[in-house]
Amino acid sequence: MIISLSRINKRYPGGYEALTGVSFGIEAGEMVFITGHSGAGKTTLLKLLPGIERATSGTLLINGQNVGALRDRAIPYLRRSFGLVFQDQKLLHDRSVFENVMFPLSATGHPLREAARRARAALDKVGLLDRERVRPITLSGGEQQRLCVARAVVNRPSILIADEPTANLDAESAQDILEIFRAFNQVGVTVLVATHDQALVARYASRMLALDHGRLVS
Amino acid sequence: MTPWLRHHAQSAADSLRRLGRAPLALTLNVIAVGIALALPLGGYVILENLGALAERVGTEPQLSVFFALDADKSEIDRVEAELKRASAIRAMRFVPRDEALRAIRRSEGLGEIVATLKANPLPDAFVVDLAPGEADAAEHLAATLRQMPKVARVQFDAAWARRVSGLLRLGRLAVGLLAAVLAVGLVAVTFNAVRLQILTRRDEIELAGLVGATDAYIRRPFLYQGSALGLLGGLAAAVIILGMVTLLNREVTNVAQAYGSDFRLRLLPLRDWVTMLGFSAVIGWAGAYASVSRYLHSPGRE
Repeated sequence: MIISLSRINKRYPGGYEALTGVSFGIEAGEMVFITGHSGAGKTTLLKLLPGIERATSGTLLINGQNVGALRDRAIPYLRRSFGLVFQDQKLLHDRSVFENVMFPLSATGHPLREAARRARAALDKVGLLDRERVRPITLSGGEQQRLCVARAVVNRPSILIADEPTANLDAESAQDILEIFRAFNQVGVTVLVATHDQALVARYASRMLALDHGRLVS
Repeated sequence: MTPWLRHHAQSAADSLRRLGRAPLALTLNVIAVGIALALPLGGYVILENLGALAERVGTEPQLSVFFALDADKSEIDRVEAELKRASAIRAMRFVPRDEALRAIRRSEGLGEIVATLKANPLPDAFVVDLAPGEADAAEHLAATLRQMPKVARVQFDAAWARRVSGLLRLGRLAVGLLAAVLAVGLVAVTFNAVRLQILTRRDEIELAGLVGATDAYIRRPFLYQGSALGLLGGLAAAVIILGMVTLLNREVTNVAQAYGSDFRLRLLPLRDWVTMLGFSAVIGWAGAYASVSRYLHSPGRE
């Protein structure tokens, strides 16, 4: 299993219990949807995987590596095996589309020429190669989300995580985004998508994990 | 070029570019750092010059041994042997009575008086330069010499020399303490300047951490920025000191000339300037390091 959670609990300072006794496993190459209402614990669950948050108790294994036992300085290297699409996008609006996609590679020390080649390939996959010079602010909502996907996959991650990637998108753009995820999944990337849109998920024959008030209910 | 070296080069270039993008903030920060550095540095320059001046007028204690007029060579040799054994001595020279008389004869206004003398009234003497900080040993030596045969007089007055040396030491300590206090101030100035830079780049820093950049990678451009700020502040301090010394020298030269001296304030040797610039760069680096570390380890940061 590429991801394994065993009795994971997460309590935030102040006592809010975001996750309680969550256990499941995900095989390499799976595409899994995590559903639940707002506040169900989807975002917290996704943040635990690349070590953005630490579990209060329980065991989380990524590629057999116990994330809870990792030192803080090892976390950046764990994160390099993930591609992250954030709920709030986190685009750098003072940089071009191309520079946004280059960012994860330059931040992890890739040679410039190789990084540029990979960035253009990623932009090509999401259909934004012809917009590489513009600023993200000039893109439509759907294009901005595709840009986030390009930035997430440019470092060739083994696990792609997306937190509400279709929120704020029209049905057609949302469908486009999920099709891109499926395309990456078909070439072996493990994909986890958190969404509250069950109707959208229903169109895919993928595993679904439902969270409710921090507990896994199905 | 390795990725590590490449990132260093990129960080350095990027830091300079970013500093250049806000010239007003840069100028104000450089002036603040420059003035803070110029205070102890100016004190140091003045103290070094006072030290040099004190040396010229002989602040190091000197001991003179005058023999009786009928002292013979064996008695002089015994005293010389005693002096050579002493540890408190830096240098010594024997002044024969004939040479002393010739020296007085050459002195302006004294030649005619000396010509009236029927015999040489001056004694043989040893003039001894004492090692600095050996006043107690020198006093002990003087007491020993006074007891030796045919030693007419031992002249040793270290009190005023001690006072000058003590004042210089006190001044150096005060400058050192001032430098230490202002160094903390400089760290605070750089800390704040870098903190503002961090705030304007918060999104980028957060994203870098999320995509797997190490803390060292994130910290690096800010460290270059802090070091550059410190270095530029050091250069500003050097310019301030240079200007001050140039202005002061006009008056100092006039006063010195009135006393028949060619004394003028001198700037520090190159080694001291390089040390000062290195110190200011390190102070800038420390402020930047503290600033970024505080941000990276602040609660709530992802």
